[in-house]
Amino acid sequence: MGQALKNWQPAFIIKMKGLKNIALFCLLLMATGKSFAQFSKVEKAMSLYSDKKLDSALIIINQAIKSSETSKDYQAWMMRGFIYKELYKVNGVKNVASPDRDSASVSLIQSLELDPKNENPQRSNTVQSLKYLASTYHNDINKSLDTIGYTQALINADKHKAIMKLIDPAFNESKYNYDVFSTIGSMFEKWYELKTSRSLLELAKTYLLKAYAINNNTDFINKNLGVLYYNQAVDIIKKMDYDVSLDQLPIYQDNSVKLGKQALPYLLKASQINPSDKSVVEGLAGIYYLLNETEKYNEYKKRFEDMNK
Amino acid sequence: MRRLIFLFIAFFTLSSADVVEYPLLIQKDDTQAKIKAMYIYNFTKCFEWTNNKDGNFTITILGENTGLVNELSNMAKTKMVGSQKIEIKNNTGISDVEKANILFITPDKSNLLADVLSKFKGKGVLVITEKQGLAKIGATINFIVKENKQSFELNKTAASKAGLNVGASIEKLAASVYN
Repeated sequence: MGQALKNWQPAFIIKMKGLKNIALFCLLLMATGKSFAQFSKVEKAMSLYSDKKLDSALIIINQAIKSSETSKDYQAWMMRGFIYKELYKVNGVKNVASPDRDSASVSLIQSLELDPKNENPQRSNTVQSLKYLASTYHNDINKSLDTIGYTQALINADKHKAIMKLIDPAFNESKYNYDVFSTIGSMFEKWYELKTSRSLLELAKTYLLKAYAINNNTDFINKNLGVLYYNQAVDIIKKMDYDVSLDQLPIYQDNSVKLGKQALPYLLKASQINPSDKSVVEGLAGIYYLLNETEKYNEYKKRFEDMNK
Repeated sequence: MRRLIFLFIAFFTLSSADVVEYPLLIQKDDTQAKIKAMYIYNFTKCFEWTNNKDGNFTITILGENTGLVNELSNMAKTKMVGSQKIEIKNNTGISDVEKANILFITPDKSNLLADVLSKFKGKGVLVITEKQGLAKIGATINFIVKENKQSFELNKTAASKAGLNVGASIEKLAASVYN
């Protein structure tokens, strides 16, 4: 715990050392018109927090925020947020679903919302702490990115967004959603290729199309969707048993060609956006080969070979 | 055939979101070869071979088509024609071809069709080509592309000259039938 506290201390904690500073904090509280008892609880929590007695500080601050007098006090909520944040740093950093972090975020957000006139002198510390928590949610998305943990990744992405929307007017939620969806979609695409599971394929499509709906002008999303459909088309042919009868062969080909045609516009657009992407050119050669369009296949094959010279 | 793995740099920065790029796997399987191999295997069931019933059932590729040779070789590992094992051969010249049940002539060797027909007339060899118009001039089967799909034409007279009996089912499934 000591080490964790050494790593981080809000500026006002550093400045407020000893009774003198606590007294100053008390004066601040009194100035906001709190009764002595409730003011005393916030003060007590503050003191325990300074002494790194986080569990005791938490009990006291939770009593304070349940009190009718301080339940709407931004300082009480701020204090609660700081305490939970420290608890998270001590106990929860490896937990991608840490309840301490959630409580810290909720408390600090509440503190900001209870202070619409920006009167809290420690507002910037509150914002900084929220920024820190938002970054941990964001970093934990990466930690949860697998076929089971992705739901937690989405939850953490939502929490990151909720904070960022509040503290950063420049935060681009749409871009963030695009990044998260395309990352999850391409992850499922990779797993589908390795395991060829229908459910993984559907999840890949779902998230890639969600990203595509937000922004269809990136080579990344067009390439991933194009390759997804193309690989499906190839899979149909690749998995055909040699005993498939002559009358069934055109049906399999129909299905494969249909997917190849679905892939084509995506890869053409990816190529238009980024003509130097060799994998896109190679993918296009593959699609035209699948579609038996020899001239186009030769054109893209040559282009790919030239790129590799 | 092989798969190619494209590795991209994964990055998901602390301060801003960016796309994590997972390795993108682009299939490299030779789809045309697989379909041709499946057609050819089906043809073994659609014709009645009166000759060449001893030894292995030989499928010869005349010309260069590595994908098809590989695909047919894979197929030959698990499939048989009646009680005959399937043997795949790849030749570049007609003089190298001694015995065959099926002889596939690649497009670049199409000029050898007349010689092939002359050499194997009446010997029960199914000649398959892959170039527009060759079914009309003597190939029993000619692969064509129709609506982005591989299909085939059938020349019944050529089959008869080759000494092959044509099954009823194949006629219905051919894109064109020449008598």
